[in-house]
Amino acid sequence: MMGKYVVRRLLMMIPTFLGATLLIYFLAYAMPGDPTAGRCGDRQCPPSYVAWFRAHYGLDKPFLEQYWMYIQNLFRGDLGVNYYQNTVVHELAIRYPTTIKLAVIAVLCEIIIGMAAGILAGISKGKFIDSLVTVSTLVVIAIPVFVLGSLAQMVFGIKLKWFAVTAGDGTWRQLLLPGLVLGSLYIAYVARLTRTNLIENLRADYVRTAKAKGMSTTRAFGVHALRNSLVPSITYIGASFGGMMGGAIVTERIFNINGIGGLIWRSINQRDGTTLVGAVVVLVLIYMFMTLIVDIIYSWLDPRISHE
Amino acid sequence: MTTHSVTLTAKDRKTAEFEHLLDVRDLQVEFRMRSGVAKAINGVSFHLDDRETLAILGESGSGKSVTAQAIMGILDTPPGYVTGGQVLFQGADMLAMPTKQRARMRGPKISMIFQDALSALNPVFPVGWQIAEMFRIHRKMNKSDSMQQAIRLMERVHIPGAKERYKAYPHQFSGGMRQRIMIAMAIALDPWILIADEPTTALDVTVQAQIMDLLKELQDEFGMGLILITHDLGVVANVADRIAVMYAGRLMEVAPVEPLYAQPRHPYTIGLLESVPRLDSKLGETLPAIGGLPPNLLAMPDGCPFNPRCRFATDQCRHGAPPTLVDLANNEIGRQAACWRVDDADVTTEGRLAAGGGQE
Amino acid sequence: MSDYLGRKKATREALLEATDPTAGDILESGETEQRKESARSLGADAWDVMRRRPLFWVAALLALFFIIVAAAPQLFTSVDPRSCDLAYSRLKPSLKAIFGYDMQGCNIFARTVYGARASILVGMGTALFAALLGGVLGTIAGYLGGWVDAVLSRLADIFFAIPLLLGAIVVMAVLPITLDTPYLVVIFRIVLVLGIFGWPNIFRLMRASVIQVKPAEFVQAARALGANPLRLISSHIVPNALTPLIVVSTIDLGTYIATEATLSFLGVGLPRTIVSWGADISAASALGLIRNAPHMLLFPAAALCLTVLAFIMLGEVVRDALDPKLR
Repeated sequence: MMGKYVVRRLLMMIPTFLGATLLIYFLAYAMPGDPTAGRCGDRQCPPSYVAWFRAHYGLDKPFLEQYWMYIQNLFRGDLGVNYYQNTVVHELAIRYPTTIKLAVIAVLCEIIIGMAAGILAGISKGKFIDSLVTVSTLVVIAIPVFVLGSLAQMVFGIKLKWFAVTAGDGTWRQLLLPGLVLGSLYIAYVARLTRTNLIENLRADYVRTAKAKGMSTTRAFGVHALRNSLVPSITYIGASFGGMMGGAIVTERIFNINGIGGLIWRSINQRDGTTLVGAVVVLVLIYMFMTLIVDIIYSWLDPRISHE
Repeated sequence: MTTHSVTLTAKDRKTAEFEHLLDVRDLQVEFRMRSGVAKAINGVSFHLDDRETLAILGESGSGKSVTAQAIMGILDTPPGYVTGGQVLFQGADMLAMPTKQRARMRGPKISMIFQDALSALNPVFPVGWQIAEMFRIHRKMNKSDSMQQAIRLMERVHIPGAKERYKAYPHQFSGGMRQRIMIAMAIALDPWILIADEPTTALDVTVQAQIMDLLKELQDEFGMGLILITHDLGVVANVADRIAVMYAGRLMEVAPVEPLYAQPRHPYTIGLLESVPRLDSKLGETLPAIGGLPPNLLAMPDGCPFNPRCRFATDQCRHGAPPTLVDLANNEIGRQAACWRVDDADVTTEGRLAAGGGQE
Repeated sequence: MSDYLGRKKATREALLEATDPTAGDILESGETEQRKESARSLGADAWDVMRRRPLFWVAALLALFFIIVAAAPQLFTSVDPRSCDLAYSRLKPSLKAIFGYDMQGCNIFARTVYGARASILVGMGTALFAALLGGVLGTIAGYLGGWVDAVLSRLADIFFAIPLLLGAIVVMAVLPITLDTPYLVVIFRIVLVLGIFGWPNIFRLMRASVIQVKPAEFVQAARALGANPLRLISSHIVPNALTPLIVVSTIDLGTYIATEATLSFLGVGLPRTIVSWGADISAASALGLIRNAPHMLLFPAAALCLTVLAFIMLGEVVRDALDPKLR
């Protein structure tokens, strides 16, 4: 049953994937600016070079034909060569590990800080700790990441010197603070989500049954209510992985990290469509893959979900 | 059946030094809500003897489920608080016990089944696991022994293919089968008392009878006292020994089944019996119903809580303290009622007229 | 805007229950809740709950305040935010300029007051655009089902697979804003860009609402009585699915404002010629400036946070009030 479901989901992904890549490809195609600018020193490139360049990169072909060629190459694992003669696969391969590390730190923070805060607030509803979590998460949600990031860098990096100020090398230690900043918004949402669901489930009939069965309060909450409450949080954490790739553009810029966010940002500024499309395509793939995994975990955690 | 009973029940009945198995005295429960304090239970007193079936009858909102939850000690606090009274189990006051001691009694001494088994069972654990949990936590059994016991119980409550369905989840069962699982869980530790809170309300009529038969069968086999909470007069007539009629958080009338059906004494009980369709009623005749709605617990009427809907109400009923539950005179053994006019001729006459209107 | 997805998934059911006319039953189950004397509508009930929460009034007044500032900034300051004097560069707050002066010597108070307009316009415009696009398409998909639903759902998936911020950055790069682009055109363009990546959220919400409301008895009854489909949708299905839409749109409004500021921070949003919080925060976020002239960052950032907070809080208070499970 599960196998069939996964196959069906994979099939459904194909149109989404093609659509998303088409969209990105179109945007990159429509990006204004001259990719040959600055290639011939200060002067305008000679028409012969421009013609060669356009033919070499297939820029003279109709849009859909270019796209079709791109997709064919994509399925062969070839994301093309960018205007700097580097393969996009190589550009991505040296940067994705850093961004993945960053996202892993952020996800771990979501699980450890977010869930713990949510559980703590949920079981002490209406008490001080609950108000503290509810208010502080709201504040974190309201402060844009770029303000939070700059402040965190200033306070924890420069003034207190607890963390590295920048993370140019991309080591785990250096990425700790950027990871926390990247995850901050999601941590706040996980905490609120966990709290809400826990409060709801603590009042569920089956928790009352557990008490009627003579289970201790700890067991009624910790085993019976918690399992149900964590299902939405886990789903959310999985889904947040995709959104983080977008947020990484800001975080990587603040902390000067050489990752995918930085690469996307640079490729936009340098009108490097090939790199841009390659980076985003991989990102969309990661996002869709995570969604699938989340759905599988979901049905494993909640047996009521059926995939008939 | 008998082969099971040998292993499933082993109560020691020699030490019966208490008056009643369960003795509830002047129980008070209130709900503290934003909109005010609702007095859900106002001095309810009743008892239950060993192997006896007591039916608590009442409309929704009358406080019968709250009474059950207060006895079990599983009220949601907040908003619910037990503010007074005693609940004596074999002579010991459960309300005075430490929380942990009380929790240990739930299961082996007193247990409960609920109206809606689908929401009362945890959706994310297999049913067998949920039954076996009783043995693992209370009896510290290991996994395979507790599984054996759970399967045995599932067989006992007539779940076909119990062994195969041990690992199934609640949503994969029918309503009747789910209620059987609830029952298996409740009787797992051979309790003295089983409280059944509207056990058949959510079920089809045909399944209702099966579940009631099963409860009766298990009660005999395990020797349990049964508190049956219901709003269905038909269910009560067939299984209960005694009936307690509840209204607005108070007991209106308590009586053995047959005398109560033969002659209800409280105007509220009279009204309830009148509203049951009778075989001898004429075609096209309108069925009498009690007019009005139960009172808002946040704003109780002065006097007797039933007075706004009572056709016998006098000034005495409309003012001052509500009547208390008292033993009836005239050698009517075991009968109690809470009404100022219980012995007045018009009430007793109407009671006699309303009688015979039961299901049989 | 996947940030909100999880939260929405979890609250959607609660919201739907809240708008379901039969939801009153929840209150009656278990007998713990008392019978109401008269069956009051859930809306009136929710209003009662909200009215007593100080948080609701704080959020509502704050949101209203910023809307007024955006509509009529001249009421709050007589200083022109564009008349700057380098002589005042980076002066600390004083009685003359309570928020101090920025790099170019512009009055930060005036800039903060005038900057509200861009943020509020973008936020409200995007929320409205996304609600309309997502709402209409979601209703159509949910009501018609079949291949229409399949096509629209895949379309929503496509836009959903690209994170809001990333999508917005790329599109803004494709449609660069020059310094002489008119104010409203710039705002409209940002609204369009954010809305295009924001609508799938609303689409999914609305589609699920409609699917849930559609089999309800009162809808089936109206159908059996031969109600015209358009009328059925507009008078029976939409009103019942509208509450979650409004709540989520209000919360999203806050996020759109924050995203716009982020775009400006990255230099692809509002140009410097337009007075906006995002651009001012961006200019003040350089490391050296945070240390030496923190007031430059503090005031526009505080205004931005308060606005975002106001709308998110407002949406959440309304949602919580409508959710009987959380009371």
